[in-house]
Amino acid sequence: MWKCSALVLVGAAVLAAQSPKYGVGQPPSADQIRGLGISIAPDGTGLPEGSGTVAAGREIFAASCSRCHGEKAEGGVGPPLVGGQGTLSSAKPLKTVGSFWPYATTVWDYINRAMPFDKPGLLKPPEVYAVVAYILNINGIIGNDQVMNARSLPKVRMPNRDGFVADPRPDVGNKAKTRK
Amino acid sequence: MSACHVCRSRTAPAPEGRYPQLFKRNILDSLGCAIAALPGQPFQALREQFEEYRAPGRCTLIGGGRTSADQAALFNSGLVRYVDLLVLECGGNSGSEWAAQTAPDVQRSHGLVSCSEWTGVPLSLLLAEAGVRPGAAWVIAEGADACRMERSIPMAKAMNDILLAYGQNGEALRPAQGYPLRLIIPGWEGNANVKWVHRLQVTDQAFMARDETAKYTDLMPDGKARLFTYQMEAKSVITFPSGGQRLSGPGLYELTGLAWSGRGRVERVEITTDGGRSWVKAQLQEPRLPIAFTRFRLPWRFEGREAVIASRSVDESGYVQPTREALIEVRGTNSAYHYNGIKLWKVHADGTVTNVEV
Repeated sequence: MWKCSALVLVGAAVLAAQSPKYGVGQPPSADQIRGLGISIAPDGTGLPEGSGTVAAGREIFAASCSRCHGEKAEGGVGPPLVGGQGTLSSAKPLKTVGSFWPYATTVWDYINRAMPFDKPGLLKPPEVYAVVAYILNINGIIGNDQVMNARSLPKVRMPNRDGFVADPRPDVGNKAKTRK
Repeated sequence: MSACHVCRSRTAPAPEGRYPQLFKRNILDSLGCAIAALPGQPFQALREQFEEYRAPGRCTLIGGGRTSADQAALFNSGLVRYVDLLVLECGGNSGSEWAAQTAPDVQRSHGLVSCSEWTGVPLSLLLAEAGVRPGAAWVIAEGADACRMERSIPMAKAMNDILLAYGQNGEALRPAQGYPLRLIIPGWEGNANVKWVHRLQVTDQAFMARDETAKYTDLMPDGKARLFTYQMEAKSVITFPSGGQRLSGPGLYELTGLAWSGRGRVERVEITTDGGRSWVKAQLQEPRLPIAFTRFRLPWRFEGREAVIASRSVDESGYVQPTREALIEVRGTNSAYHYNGIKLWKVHADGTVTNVEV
């Protein structure tokens, strides 16, 4: 197998040098892309139509989320979704949507793609907006009457929005002199 | 060679069900291996075979501008077959050591790592085939698993050495490993190696997915978290003698273990048997491949006295695996991920081996 692969790699290198266009595949249709397109950018690109209120979110949360995340999102078998602001530099940091997550769009995206844990995809876009509104509200990030939709959600400024820095590594051990 | 393999292949011993489908795919794979290097007619014939046998499932590249690489799992084998031996390590491997070195054995302290022979097509080739617009800076990869696992990958890495893999250790990817397609990102944390890839979206911005913001970021003592910490650094662990094992008595033993680095080859490994006061160079097993497990060995006479043993690896970039204390001095104990500190084991006078904090 190794010999075989090596042989092909050599040939492939020649092909690559000729900059081939293989001509495989075809452009996906708009429907195909839409069917696969559930990724949401932090500027809101990809967010669907629909809207949700804090009040509606409270009910959906009680029905679909609380059995794992707790009645007040304080955590259970699932992680807590509320609290922890001001703890990140403490000995026991509590990383939640409210204290840690830098973008509200990520909350929408993750609930939409992965929650509820046993039935991902169950919630329709307006329900996702509502649950996000509720979680942001109980974290003190939006008011009781604020409605979340494709316009308002990307404008929400999360408390820890500026809490992230670029990777400075190697920060330890780099070019260290041989120790004694 | 591949043609012979195809001629010899039979479906007879295969069970009913989906196995014949795999058989067809393997034949196509082998044909692809042989024909990929040839221009012209044979490749056209292969493409016709694809059309005849193509299976359901699709990998779609969005945002390229000119075309997309549909049915990539099959087409890949007709493009370029690229094989590489690579470590795949979870960003959280040995993360429990941040708090204390209390894991009882290697499996539980360092078990979230493996080394496999991966087969796939360079992502750079597919991106070039699809055409990438100027300004495209990220590739958003999404899996077809229940939670639609998503990560943002910088275009520079995508154009460098990422594989869209369909084979592992000489066979098709197994379902649990991401069949039919997964990303293999040399030297980067396992989580970014998205499995069951069904969509690659080229964008101008990172999408700040949950697994690259809420998770897999490294919280520092000042409360700031490091973002996009993909790189895995040099690491090693002694596997014999290690926690849970027992030396039968004083005598000559061979210390051995594994070293690796996400930055390239392991340049050397040093071993201490006196708790870090002195270090001796271990013998490295060749070949030392970049970003692959490197086995190290050192003869050692156990005198029947308590000994604290450890290894440290140095990679080709000059990076020296740090002590746990050195890591904590800079990063504190709440960063959760990317721990690569020197791993200590305590050999007790009776030959039993434990972690150093029992």
